[in-house]
Amino acid sequence: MLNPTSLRIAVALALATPLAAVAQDNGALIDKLVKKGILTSQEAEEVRADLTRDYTITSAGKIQLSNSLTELKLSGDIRLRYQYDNKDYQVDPVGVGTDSDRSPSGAQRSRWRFRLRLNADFKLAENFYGGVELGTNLASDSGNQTYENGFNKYPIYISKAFMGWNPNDWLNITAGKFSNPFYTTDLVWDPDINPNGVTESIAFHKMYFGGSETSYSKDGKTASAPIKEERPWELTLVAGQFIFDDNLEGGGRDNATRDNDTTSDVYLFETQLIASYKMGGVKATLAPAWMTYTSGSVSGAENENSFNDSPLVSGASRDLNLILVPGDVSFKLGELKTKVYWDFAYNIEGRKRVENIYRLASVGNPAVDPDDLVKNHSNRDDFAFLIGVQVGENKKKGDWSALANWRQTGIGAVDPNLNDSDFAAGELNTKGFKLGMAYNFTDFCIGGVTYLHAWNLRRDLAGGEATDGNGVADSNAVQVLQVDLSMKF
Amino acid sequence: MKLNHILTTAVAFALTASFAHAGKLVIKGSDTLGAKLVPQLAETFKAASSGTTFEIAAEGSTTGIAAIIDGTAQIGMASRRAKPTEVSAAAAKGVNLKPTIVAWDGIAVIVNDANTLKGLTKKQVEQIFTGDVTDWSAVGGAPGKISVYTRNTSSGTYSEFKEMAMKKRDYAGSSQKMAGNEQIAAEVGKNKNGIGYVGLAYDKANGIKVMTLDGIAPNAGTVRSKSYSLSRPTFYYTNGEPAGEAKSFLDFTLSPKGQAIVAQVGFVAIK
Repeated sequence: MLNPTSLRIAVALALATPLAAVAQDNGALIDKLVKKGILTSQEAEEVRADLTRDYTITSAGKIQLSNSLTELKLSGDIRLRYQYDNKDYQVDPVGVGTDSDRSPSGAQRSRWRFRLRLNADFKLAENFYGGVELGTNLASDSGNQTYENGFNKYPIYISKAFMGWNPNDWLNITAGKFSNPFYTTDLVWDPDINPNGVTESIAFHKMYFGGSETSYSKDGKTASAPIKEERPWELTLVAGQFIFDDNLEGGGRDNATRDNDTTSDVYLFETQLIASYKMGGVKATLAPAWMTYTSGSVSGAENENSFNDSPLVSGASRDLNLILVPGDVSFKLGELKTKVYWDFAYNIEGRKRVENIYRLASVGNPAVDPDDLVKNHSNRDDFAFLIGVQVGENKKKGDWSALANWRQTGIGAVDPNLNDSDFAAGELNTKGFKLGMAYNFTDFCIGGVTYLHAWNLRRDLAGGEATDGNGVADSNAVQVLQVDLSMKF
Repeated sequence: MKLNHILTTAVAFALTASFAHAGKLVIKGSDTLGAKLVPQLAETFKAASSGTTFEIAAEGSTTGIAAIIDGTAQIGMASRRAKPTEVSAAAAKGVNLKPTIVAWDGIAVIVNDANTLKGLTKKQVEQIFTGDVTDWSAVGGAPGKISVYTRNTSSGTYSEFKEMAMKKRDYAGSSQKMAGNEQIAAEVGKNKNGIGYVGLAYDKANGIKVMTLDGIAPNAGTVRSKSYSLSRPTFYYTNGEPAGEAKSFLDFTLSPKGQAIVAQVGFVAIK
């Protein structure tokens, strides 16, 4: 038999895996060597002790993780951005506002910014999972922190904290603050927004048609692994019950200007059916959804174009009852992944949203006729749509992609607290385009340029919450240029 | 920090010097080893070797390994392997935790004699000790609320059982923590709905019976072959190669005479 030192060297060579992994994984191999009589039990213990000792002096060996963890993934990204914005304010028509409001004006901003996100995603036993993300910027729709105020330090916020359970292939339940679970575009949901609440998804194609039947060998005795037959279609139901704002139930009423919205919590509900079908090299996806809110006061929403209750506006979540129909057709153009995509939003209660919440209906002369309202609603206000194309993808070194889309957003069509903060600074009553290109310098380092150009959709919208108050549509034109360098880790 | 390190080293040196001077062997750690086996070994060793006195404290494997790290014992008894954190803490103090297998043991799952069941599956054991199952009827027994008895957290058996039988899950919140094997056996013997676990040396107590696990009973044969899934080695931990009284006692434990005592007490001899 070999002497103990030689044995240890031999076993260490046999266990020629990275040191950090050795102490975790060597138990079975050492046991096998004992069983084969290559090591005695005592020699095995000494080898085990040596490897553990070596392991504990590595960096990994000094990290202790909870026993309940089965998997932990740490990741993150840093993005450096140069951003230039130009904004030309809406010019009020004659008869609205004061003369000074009809003076063209504009604002330019040039900023150097960064975004940091730190993620910890974990899996636990019994099919439970969870995650935490820390990120820069308090605003719900942006992670960008502008370099400013000398060399001040910057705060970091909790942008995700969730737990979930997926007891089987087809059911998934998540609660907390998590990534947006819906198939969507930035026409309706800014990709930086992580909603709070509960979400469930049911994958019907895995539930009933996942091909999970057990098959048997030819002699009929041995069960083999389930055959997963690839099916051309997928059908998934996603639902979300989100907590949008919390109000004091005993907060009282101010009947002069408000109703009981000030005492009601605001919830957002969305339900979506995501259907896709693959035929040859073409995959089509259609994801109709319904999104609605309970009526309540919204205050303290921090985003690029926030819409909160004010002394003049009550129930900022009122009259939003949206039908959404996003989708895409994906195929290969030569060797390049290509996607034609779209989104469509229609607010069933668009007129009420425009006239009552954005106060774009004014009283003519109630002394003569109480119903004499000057209504300022157009059917265009209730719709939003986007259509675009993306060529290429960014996964590894040398990859590139380009995108172009056109969109139009009526003032009553979507929630200004949710839509993309980059396009027209999140404003409503806009139309315009977005162009972008990105290139992978390495697998983990991507450079990109994006240009967004927006005009107002209706030039006659003024007053109310359009150009006064919350000012959800107070620009004549907005141009944004973003130059990015990001690194994932 | 530096002063602290110097003081610790000085105290350890002083204690080591006092051990050597008095011929006193301080042994701390596992209750599984320290309640029966080591005292009997010590008695026999003392009879054959003049001048050696023993101080044995059996308060759990954690205390034994900690005593080696702190230099307050020459031998640390353990029914589990040292954890990476303990190895790391030892290395930081310049202590080399050296394990020596002195006996094999099986963790026997015990129930009250009145229990109608003869055996459990490993899955059922996990369910009972984690609290997933709280009534005997759920595992085929007569209806009755299960009382779970476990060792306390400083016990090596506590953590070994958690790792080997419970997939590292937490014990049921209602479980009652006992100081030693004998206390567990006594409580289970008194409680017709009780269940607990003990080392093989403690499974002959009155009022209890041993459950088979997946049809296999723990005994010398199944433990040595490891066909019984809750088989484990038990250790003496020393700071590097043992010397002096500690080496003599360790050699005695591993000798044919020592191993005969190991078997006689109820453990499984290493050869």
